[in-house]
Amino acid sequence: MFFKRRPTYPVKRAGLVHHELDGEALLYDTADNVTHRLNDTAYFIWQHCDGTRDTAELASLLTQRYDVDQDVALRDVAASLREMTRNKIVDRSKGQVRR
Amino acid sequence: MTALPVTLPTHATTMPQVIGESARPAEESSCGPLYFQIGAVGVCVRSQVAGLLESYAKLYRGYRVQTRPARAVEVEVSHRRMLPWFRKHFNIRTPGPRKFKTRDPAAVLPYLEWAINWQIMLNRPEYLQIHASVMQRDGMGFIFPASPGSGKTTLAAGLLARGWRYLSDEFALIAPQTGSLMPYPKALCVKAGSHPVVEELGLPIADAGVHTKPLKGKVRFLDPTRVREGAVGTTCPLRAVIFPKYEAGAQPCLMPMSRAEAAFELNRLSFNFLEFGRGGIDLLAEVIRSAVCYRLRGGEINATCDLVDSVREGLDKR
Repeated sequence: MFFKRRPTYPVKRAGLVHHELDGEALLYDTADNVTHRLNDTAYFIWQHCDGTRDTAELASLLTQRYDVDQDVALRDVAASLREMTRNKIVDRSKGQVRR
Repeated sequence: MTALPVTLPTHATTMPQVIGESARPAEESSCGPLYFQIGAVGVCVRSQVAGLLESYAKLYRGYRVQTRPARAVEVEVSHRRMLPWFRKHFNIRTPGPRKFKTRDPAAVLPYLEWAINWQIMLNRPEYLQIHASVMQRDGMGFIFPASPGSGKTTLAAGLLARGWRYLSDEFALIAPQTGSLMPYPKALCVKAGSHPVVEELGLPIADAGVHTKPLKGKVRFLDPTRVREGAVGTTCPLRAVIFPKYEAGAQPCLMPMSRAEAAFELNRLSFNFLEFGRGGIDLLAEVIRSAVCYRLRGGEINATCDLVDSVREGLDKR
């Protein structure tokens, strides 16, 4: 019997100030006084972390925006979300769980 | 495709830490205070060390004022001998607990400059402060932010020799209300390795005294007002951010960078970003929108300055 990991629906963390600069973004965490820079793809992913999309859906959006395969997109979105979670700019536990 | 975010957890500051040491006789007297208005920064200096105030006043003769400037930063230099057969200590004091100490008379003036810089960092929180040299051409402000040893001052000297106007070789002071660069045209502190380069540029440094600066070794101070009339710039808008990095023998090269990356780096090189908090990121984002951003690998000074001039020419055409 294998466990199937339940999908998560990442959501942007509250309390982040963000400025878009030519498709990239500067985020400022007012709670921790930490600044983050997101390149254009990371910013695209972060923008769509609204708690209703899981990794696969975010990857699909990425393939529509950029010329990239689904597999590559999936891998990059997963890596980005890990990094964003580690840096506390998205929250993966607060996303809406769809049934 | 890369999509990884970059995090900046800390904020770099460059502070003096080492106390220089050597022995030479020092004269004694008591005088001051003298007042100076150096661009946006008022300075009040007192000294018991004969010759020091004269040296400082000579270096900043164009900025001397008779009355105490508003919100002047204060530095006092005194000397002390623990016992008659001990060598003299020079204490460079600022209001508050911070004190610099040296036994080397040749290090006193650099320490005095350090102490003033320190006071600016602490006492001028109204400006967003970035560790950078700042130059002006045709009314446009260029900042060259970098860590120590990246060639900021030599590049500023090179541009000064080409007719650019000088605002600072240490601080980019950004006024939050206007986003403008404020001048703090302190004397350029030129390290020994750059003395021949600066002399070759025809700048008046040969007759400047040699001082000892902790971490930097032998330095000379170049008074920008002696270069030519109008060599010192005025308040101006930021139009270019160029991060220089000198590499000996390298072919100078200009590499575009994104505004987000530049703003992120400016944050890292800011002395007081944390004090601004959210206002700091808003300000950086606002001023960077009207600027072009590059990394500059510096090499031979004239070729390097040619590249900076090419950025300026590009701005003219916009």
